[in-house]
Amino acid sequence: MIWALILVGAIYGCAAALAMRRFSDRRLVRRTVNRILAHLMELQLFLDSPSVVLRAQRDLLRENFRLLSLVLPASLIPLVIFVALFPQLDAAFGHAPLRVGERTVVTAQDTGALEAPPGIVLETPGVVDLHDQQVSWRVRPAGKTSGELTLRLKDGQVLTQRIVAGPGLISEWRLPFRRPAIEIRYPRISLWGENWMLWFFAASMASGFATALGWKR
Amino acid sequence: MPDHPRTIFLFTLVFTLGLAACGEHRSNAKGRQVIVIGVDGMDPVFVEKHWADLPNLAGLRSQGSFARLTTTTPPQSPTAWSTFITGLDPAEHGIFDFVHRDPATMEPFLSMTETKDARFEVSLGSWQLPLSRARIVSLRKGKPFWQTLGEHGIPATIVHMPTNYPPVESGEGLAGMGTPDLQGTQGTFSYFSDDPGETARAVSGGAISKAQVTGGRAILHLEGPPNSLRRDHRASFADLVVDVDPAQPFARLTIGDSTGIVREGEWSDWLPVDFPLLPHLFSVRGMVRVFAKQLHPRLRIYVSPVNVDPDSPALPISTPRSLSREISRATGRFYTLGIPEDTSALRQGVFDLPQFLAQSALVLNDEKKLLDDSLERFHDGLLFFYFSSVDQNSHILWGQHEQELLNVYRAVDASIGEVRRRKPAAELMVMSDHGFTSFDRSVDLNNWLYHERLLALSQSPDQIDWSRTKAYALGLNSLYFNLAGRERHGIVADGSESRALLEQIRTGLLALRDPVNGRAPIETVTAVNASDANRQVAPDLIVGYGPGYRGSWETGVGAVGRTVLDDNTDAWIADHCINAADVPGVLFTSRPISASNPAIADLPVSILALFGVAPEPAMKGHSVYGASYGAVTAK
Repeated sequence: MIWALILVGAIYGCAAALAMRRFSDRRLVRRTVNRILAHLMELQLFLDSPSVVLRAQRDLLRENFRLLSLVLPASLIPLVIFVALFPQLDAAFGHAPLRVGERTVVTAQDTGALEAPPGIVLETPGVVDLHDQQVSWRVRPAGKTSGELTLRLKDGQVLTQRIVAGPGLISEWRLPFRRPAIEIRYPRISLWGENWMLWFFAASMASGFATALGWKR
Repeated sequence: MPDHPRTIFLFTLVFTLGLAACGEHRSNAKGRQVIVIGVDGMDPVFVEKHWADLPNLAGLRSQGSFARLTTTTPPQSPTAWSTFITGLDPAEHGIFDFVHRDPATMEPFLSMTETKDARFEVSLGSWQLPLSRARIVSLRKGKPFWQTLGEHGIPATIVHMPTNYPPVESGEGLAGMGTPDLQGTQGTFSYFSDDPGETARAVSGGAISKAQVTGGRAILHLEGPPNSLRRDHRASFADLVVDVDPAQPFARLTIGDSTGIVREGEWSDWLPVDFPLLPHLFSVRGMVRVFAKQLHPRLRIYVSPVNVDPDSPALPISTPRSLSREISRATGRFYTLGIPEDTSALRQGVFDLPQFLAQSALVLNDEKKLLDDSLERFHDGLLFFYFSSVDQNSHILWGQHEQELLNVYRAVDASIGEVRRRKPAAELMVMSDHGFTSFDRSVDLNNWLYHERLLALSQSPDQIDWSRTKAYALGLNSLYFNLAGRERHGIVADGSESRALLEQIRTGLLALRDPVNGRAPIETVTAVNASDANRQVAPDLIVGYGPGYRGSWETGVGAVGRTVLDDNTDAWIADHCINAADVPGVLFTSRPISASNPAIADLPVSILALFGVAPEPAMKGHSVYGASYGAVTAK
């Protein structure tokens, strides 16, 4: 599973490097970086001259802000891609499907009748949380399964949410910043003891730098 | 040419990985399997009375052997299991009781482990950041027998061995009795109630707190570990949110990311909980089980002691450290507290008997789950597996709830049957560290010493005046002299004065009679001749009570009770901390034994003999199989 994540991270890193190359003014960026280096040298060379050091620090700060403003528009593209990817990656690599026999809680924001697909046992009636106006049920997968939880609201509206149990991945399309109609508490997992984001960003940074170095040559 | 180094690198990598893979399965056991099932507190008299209900133990007796097992003096679990582990007597392994006292401060401390703070720390205001790790060290001396097996290339899996916390770094296994909860205690439950009749207070083994339900929601502050990052080490807390359904007997529980739903009278699954030490940066993970004692009209919620989460252990509970996570992923979370049955909740009236039995059944269920997993992993060498349920249930049920206790024995017997069915070729040994007897009357040794003018009280009540005290008791069997040069305020000279004091106390205690029935509450008073390494912690005398008697609860913590002899009115109705001869353990073996009077110190030697390994020179026992079995090889 970790190799799939590293592959996605590497592709993302390449794409981010490509976006930086395509949408930023590399000549201006290079010039700004050179200025920053020059001010750093200035700091080293004129340590015994406080007025020069102070001025160099001021200029260093200014050039850093300039560099940020130069790369910001280009870095928005990978940021938007990451925001869109995050829910899918978190579902697939940050959580595991429900373990067979292990109970979990599903929560809906509206009151209604919940129906479970075959292989999922509804263990409790809907438990009302007056405070947050939610309803929760306890469910238990009786075997490996993947199906739709269906919530029939009083006004006739029908809401569904896919539920997965047993070995495998949770692969489903999720919109960022949108709470699912029926929230399922999948167990959190780590990859080699670490959060998936660590491996993702390590892979994307490595591939991004490798891509940039390739262009230089 | 450029391909050459890459080829060499790949070859070396494959070769190294291959060697590592082979190394994992290297074993000199040659397919031999030895399984030892340790059943804490299994009593020979109870077993003999119920052979028909215990078919697997009866089968072992008829196929191999059954004997009463001589236990240690004192017959306390930490003491006896330490002898089982090392083959040494208590004077050498240095574990005499659950608690010892520090002669420099006269304060009691847990006898099995010690936590050493980080050596280097940086202080920032009220914060204190450690630059090195705190260490937990076992205070038991001597070499565990499975370490000797390991040196001979024989793999050992040791599951829940008592007094094996932190677990010995040899073979693999889970720590047992002595493993604390996250608060660092041997188990502190939390109980919350909104009943105005119940007052918030700290009780022995727990804390009772008030709950307030507003709009169907109660937020319960759950105490976690002391915050080691703060200079004052104040406790860390996490909030357990209980949302009670307005119409049905159900509630949703939420702690951080964990949620569960419970019906009234039901137990939740394990709920992982993070206690923040440095907000948003550093937290400690534990886990709790919640019991919804009542949801309507009053809210009464019991929360288990915060166990170390085996999936993300904050303390060293397994060897190797990753093992607890592996097992947890295979079987689900399980109790990790050293003594998981919550007898304190029963004794404090938080549980009634059926509720205690239900909690105890959860523990037994976990034990069965772990045994199943252990048998699955076990191929050859030694497997030791421990059951705590018989002991803890005997303390509560003995003599008054025979059928309920028999059910626990039956469950353990069924597990033994399962072991025999799944590993028919294995040599099997089933043993216990001691037996049981009723606890009807308590003896307050400090009160007796006070009346004998050997212990003096100062002006403030219950404070011992050390300048006029010659002897004092602390622990369930231990009695100490206030020795000059050892104790902080010692007044008794070592030599003729201490010898005379010994005789005076021995004669007095043996002459004591219970006015209620005329019986002698104390049968033996044994002088301890501790090794040099244990002289500071060892008691001077071990008191062996007669059946039906035990040291008072006050004596256990070094306090002075109101009367010398009193009725035991506690829910804890049976014990074994008496004269060792009255509470032998059991020994069942699948292979007949030749020893006529086996003792617990013989068992490590016998297990080594089954693999043909010579005992360590310091070990006291002899193989129960006799000299003919197990060609002993030198290391």
